[in-house]
Amino acid sequence: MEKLELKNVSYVYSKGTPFEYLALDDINLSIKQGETLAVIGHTGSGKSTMIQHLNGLFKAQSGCVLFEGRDIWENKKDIKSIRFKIGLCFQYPEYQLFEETVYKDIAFGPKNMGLEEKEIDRRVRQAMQYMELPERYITRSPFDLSGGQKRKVALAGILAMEPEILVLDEPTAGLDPSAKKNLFGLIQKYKEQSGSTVVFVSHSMEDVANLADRIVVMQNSKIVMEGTPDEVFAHADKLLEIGLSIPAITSIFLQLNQKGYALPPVYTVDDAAKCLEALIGGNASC
Amino acid sequence: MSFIECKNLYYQYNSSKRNAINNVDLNIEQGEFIAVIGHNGSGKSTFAKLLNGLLQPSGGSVLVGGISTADEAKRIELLQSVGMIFQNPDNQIVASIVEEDVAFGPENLGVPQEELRSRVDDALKTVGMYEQRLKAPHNLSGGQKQRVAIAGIIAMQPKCIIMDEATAMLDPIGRKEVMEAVRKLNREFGITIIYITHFMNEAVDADRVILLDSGEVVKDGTPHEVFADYDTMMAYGLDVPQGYQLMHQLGIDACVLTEKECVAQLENLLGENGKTRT
Amino acid sequence: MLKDISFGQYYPADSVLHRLDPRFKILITFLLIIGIFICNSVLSLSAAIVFVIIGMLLSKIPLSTYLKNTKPLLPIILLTFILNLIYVPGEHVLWHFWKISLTTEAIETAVFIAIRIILLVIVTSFLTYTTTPTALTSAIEDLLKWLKVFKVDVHSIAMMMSIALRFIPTLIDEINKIINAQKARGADFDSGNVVQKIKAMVPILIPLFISSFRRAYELANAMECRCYNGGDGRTKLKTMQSSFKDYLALAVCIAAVVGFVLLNSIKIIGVY
Repeated sequence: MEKLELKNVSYVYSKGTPFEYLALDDINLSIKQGETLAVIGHTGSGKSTMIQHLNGLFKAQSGCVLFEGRDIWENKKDIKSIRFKIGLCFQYPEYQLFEETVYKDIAFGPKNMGLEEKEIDRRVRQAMQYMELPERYITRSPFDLSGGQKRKVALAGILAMEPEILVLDEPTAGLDPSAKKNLFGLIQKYKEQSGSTVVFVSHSMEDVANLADRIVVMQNSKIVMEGTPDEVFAHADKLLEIGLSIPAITSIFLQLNQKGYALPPVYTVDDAAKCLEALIGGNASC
Repeated sequence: MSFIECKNLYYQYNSSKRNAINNVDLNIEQGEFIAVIGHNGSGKSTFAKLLNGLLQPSGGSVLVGGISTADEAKRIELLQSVGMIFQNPDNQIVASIVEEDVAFGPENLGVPQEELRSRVDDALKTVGMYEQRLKAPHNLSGGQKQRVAIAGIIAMQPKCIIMDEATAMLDPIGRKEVMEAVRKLNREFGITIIYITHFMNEAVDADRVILLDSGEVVKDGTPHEVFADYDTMMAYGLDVPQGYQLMHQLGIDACVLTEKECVAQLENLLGENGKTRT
Repeated sequence: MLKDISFGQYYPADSVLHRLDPRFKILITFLLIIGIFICNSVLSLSAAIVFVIIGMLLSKIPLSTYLKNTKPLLPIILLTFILNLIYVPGEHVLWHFWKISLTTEAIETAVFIAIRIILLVIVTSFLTYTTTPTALTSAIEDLLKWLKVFKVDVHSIAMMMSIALRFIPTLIDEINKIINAQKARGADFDSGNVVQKIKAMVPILIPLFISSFRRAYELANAMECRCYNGGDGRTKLKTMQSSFKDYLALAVCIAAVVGFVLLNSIKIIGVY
């Protein structure tokens, strides 16, 4: 059984006004337990609207969203509990911090779940550990931290709800390269340790190629491609046609092939290095 | 005399004990395209704000066209000749209509009405936003908003534009649009560009790269000079293009910054190995 | 999208009313408000109704949009209607119960006032529906120029107003984002008593304040970089220009109001 499914989901903004706008057009998507799914597409392709359907912040105007086979809107009152199971972290989440201390801010979600003080404490500390936030931050004001640290606190606030699916909208937007690398590393580690399912939106094809098990490509409110990185990046021409890019390393190999080489498609630097090492070492192919 | 001269420049924020800018000495010539790189907190933005007098040096001086940024009497003249674009596209658009926003700067300078119209139209055409001149800013994409902001600056006819991480919040398309607009200004109008960024692929295209760390200039030269040492780049927390990473993993000491350079290098390396036999 | 509809009340269309000089539109609106208030005969009020309907047709805005604007005022209209029915004294008693009596005069007054209120709402929506907030601000700035004599800084006030208007869609967007982000963490804004509901606002208000201050700081920097130095010595890209059609519209409205006054003297029903 699929963990989370979107079935024929459509959504129109400002229905019935001159500003009417179709944001999602008959979306079908299934998310499997334990996978890392990347969503790519231009700004305005419908990615943000789609991910807000996953945890019931938006209600599909037609079609439905199934969590473990059950419609998340089956009982309207239960929608809050769905939001704890599917943790959604927005873009620039540090702008939503509000508490006096890091501890209290991370505890906001678990508190809303109605957990006991002891359990909240355990979860806050656990989430801080996942995000490698030092214990002395517990009493610090989140507003005194650096941008990168604030982002980690905000993310810890989602992790503390112990969601079964973690949904991240451009988790590294605006971070510098080392902070970005660090954060992706932490998310990866969290995923391995918790066995959680991860969905993330990204504009960086390099990151998508490095992290995702599966990729969904959106364009003009529709899903236009779906598959493993191999399958999706094999259609480099189509991606470029809709104005998206491919990883630089993939592009380099494609250019070499145009010059008469017969190199296999690669998506990560590691794979590329392995392949070339074999070739330079005298192997006929790699 | 250089266009911009920084002499023993220091800056310290009130709340901090250490210098945000530490003994920076450098000259910038008219017409240069300079990328300033460094991780967050390296002093890039502080440096930018010192160049147009938004911040006053704690020590040393900045001269723009021979005029000190501390000269209160020449303040408007300085701000007019050194324009600045900020990171958040939403927070630098003043008016509710694109063309009125572009007119804001020259209106402040008291440019006569007949000339205003042509300045606004020319500026909008230069950045490719003329068609959108009557739109409301909140209906534009991030890249379009930043191009409107750039038009607002060029309508003041500056000699130099500082881009303070102006592409950090944009998607790849927006980033490309802005980069192209800025490159055009540099090439066709000879406007000096000081481009602050942490995207390496943007810095690679500059004439000159300045690497800041802890408020000090640690490298200053052409992209190839600055990026020559792989380990140093990693040590300063910077991103390295994938082609360059590949060379490093293969144990080859070659500073390849663009895809084209990488392809050429690999072709050399592989020779006939791996070619399809026909 | 959401931010578009909530942005002022401007309804984009290409009509005669949309094209009028906003300064004239403000003057005309005031004129018509007075005109409607002085209508006190069946004939003059009917004339006013016809006049407003013609305006509605000229505006090229659907009737439903006008109705939407009137809807929130319905309780007030209803309340004044009932109060008038009960409290206006009269001699022709139609129906009597306990201390309450219903008179013909009361019914007439109640109907009159209700119609007047509806007309007033529609007339003011002519202004807000057909004029962008920006145009409205500059028109107000222009009309209030004379206040400078009394050392009122009209420019700064107008600048503040236009910046506020400019940021309304941005802030609405931001509020929605924050609400959704806190909802994603299980925040509940709907249930509980008043105290709990106010408390639930804290996670929205604090981030909103912080970000508004950040925006204000950044905008101030950006404005300084664009040589903003107050209103002195500023030129303007667009100066508002009035043309023949504006004077014509004003003349028509003055004529209409004069017509209402003349029609007031002809009474058909009782004092009306």
